[in-house]
Amino acid sequence: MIKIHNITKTYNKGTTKVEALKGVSCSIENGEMVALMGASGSGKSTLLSLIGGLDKFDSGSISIDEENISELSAQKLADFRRDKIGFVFQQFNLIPTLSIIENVMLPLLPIKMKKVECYQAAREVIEKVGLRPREKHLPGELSGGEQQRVAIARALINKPKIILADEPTGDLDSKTGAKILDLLMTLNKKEKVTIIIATHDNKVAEVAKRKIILKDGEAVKL
Amino acid sequence: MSIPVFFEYALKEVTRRKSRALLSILGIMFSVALLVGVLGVSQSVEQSALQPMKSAGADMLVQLHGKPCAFDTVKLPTNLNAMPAEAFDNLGDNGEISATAGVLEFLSFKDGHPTIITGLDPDITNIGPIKPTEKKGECCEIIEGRYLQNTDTYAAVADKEFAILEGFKVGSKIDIGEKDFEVVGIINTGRTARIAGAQVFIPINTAQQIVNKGDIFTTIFLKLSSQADPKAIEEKIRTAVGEKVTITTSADFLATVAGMSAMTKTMATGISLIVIILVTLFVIKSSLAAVYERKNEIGVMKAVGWRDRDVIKLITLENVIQSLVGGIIGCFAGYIITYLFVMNSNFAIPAAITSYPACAASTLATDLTVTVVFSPYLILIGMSVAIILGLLAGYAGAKRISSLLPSEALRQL
Repeated sequence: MIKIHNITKTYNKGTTKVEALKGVSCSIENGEMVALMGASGSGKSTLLSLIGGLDKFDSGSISIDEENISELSAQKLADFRRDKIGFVFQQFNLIPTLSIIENVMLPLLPIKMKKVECYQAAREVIEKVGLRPREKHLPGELSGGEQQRVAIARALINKPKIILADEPTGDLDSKTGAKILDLLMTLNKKEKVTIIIATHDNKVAEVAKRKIILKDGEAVKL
Repeated sequence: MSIPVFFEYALKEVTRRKSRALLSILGIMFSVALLVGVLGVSQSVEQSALQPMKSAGADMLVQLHGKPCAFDTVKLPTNLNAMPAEAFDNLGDNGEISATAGVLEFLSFKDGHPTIITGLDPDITNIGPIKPTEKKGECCEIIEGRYLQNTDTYAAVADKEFAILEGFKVGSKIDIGEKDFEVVGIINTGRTARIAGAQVFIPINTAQQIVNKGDIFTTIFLKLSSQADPKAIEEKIRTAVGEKVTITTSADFLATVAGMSAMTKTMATGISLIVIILVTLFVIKSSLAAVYERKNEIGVMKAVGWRDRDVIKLITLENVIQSLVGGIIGCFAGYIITYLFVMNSNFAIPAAITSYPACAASTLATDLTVTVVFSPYLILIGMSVAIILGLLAGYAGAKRISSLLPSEALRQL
């Protein structure tokens, strides 16, 4: 379970301070599929990055399965991200020179694992997103939808409990976007993966069981 | 961590950023080539130029330069005066000199043609112009007959080239100072210049009798012991022989023959080191620029669970790969620099040390054999510099980028 309590986060933008989150509190059950909604600048991406341990917050607490992530050292936080979180970015963030399978294996590199095992694990998740025939291709040779599926495969390789998706369909056409959402829904239903999607698109939010709406850094609807 | 996969990733990154990698490789190659080249040239020049001193087994030469008096049939070489043998009698008493050999070089004229003669002590073979050996191809191989013995008087050993020219064989007679000498051996001194080299070698006592100036030497070879103070020994020699005496040490010899003093060598190495420092700064800057170009990728790596040290390892490994390539090419380029420089250099034994008359029937070799010395030690230095440079540059770039929070590296989230 994810418990977010009274989180504040301020950014320095030049000489001015921008309050991105103003005491947000909420909780998300294991296996839930939640949409974080709000306009651009409402703080949804910030909240997503704080849940994933990508950034530090000013005050409050976030605990995941009773583990307070603000108390983790940088190394432990890296391990936490690797073991529990899968990220899906709007712009896919694949490494262009690495093949699909190599991109998917990226989270495994810091782990002591045999090469053959790395490849085997990567093939399993690539199969899951339906891209096995294209595993040796470079990202540039794939369509946007396929690239996002690769990103999902990369997020899945460590069997995370939580997938944090930031505008996962933002760079895709509606048809491809729908396929990506289907894939995320399937993962949620079949594998009970907690999925939190940050989006400003109502169609995307409709697939979620619950919506958390943010406005000007505050949660207005839980 | 899966090392082979990790290495594959690093290698791909290097090959992907070709222009950046090429710049770094060129920088490393340039500095390694320069350092290895300078060291290679200095080692090769040193080896080639010091050959006469090394083959004589000496650290120091003592000669008295000047214009000797003319003789009817024999005379001292143009530039060398006689030094009394007794002046050197007590030099080695305190153990600072481990070996001494005095030789008497003179010219013997017959029908207007000089023959270059060196009188030497047959019992001293560890230092001096000749180290007789039976080993084939080595200097100074006795190819016929035998070497001189301390019981010999009018016996001579002829140099192979001279013997061929004059048709001498073992048993032939040579006129030296109107005395008949029997050729007891033919020796191959090679065609490389030697200090106190000669066409004919005879026993020192007989040489001194023929020159008829008493117990004199023209050149003294000295081998110093490890604890010896060369300056103090020079002072002793000057006191014993006179202020006009010329003392040549290995360092002087190197400076005279190759124009390479300790200072020029230090300067060249110093310049190489300055270049290495500048290249290091350039490679670090290039590495920093390269990692900042990949800020987003590093952010992804950190987001998927890479620790800071994993990022540092990958980037450092990439730089080490570049360094290895740069180092290997640099060592090769350094060898080419050494080869081109050394093979186009001519080193000759200084005229002041051995003065051979141009009118001699066959002149002795004055050119030194130039050899390219490129030891594994140089490759070790070159590769070490390259790897250290790569580690420094890689670590500097990696450390800075890895310290960023994943969210700072990732602009999208």
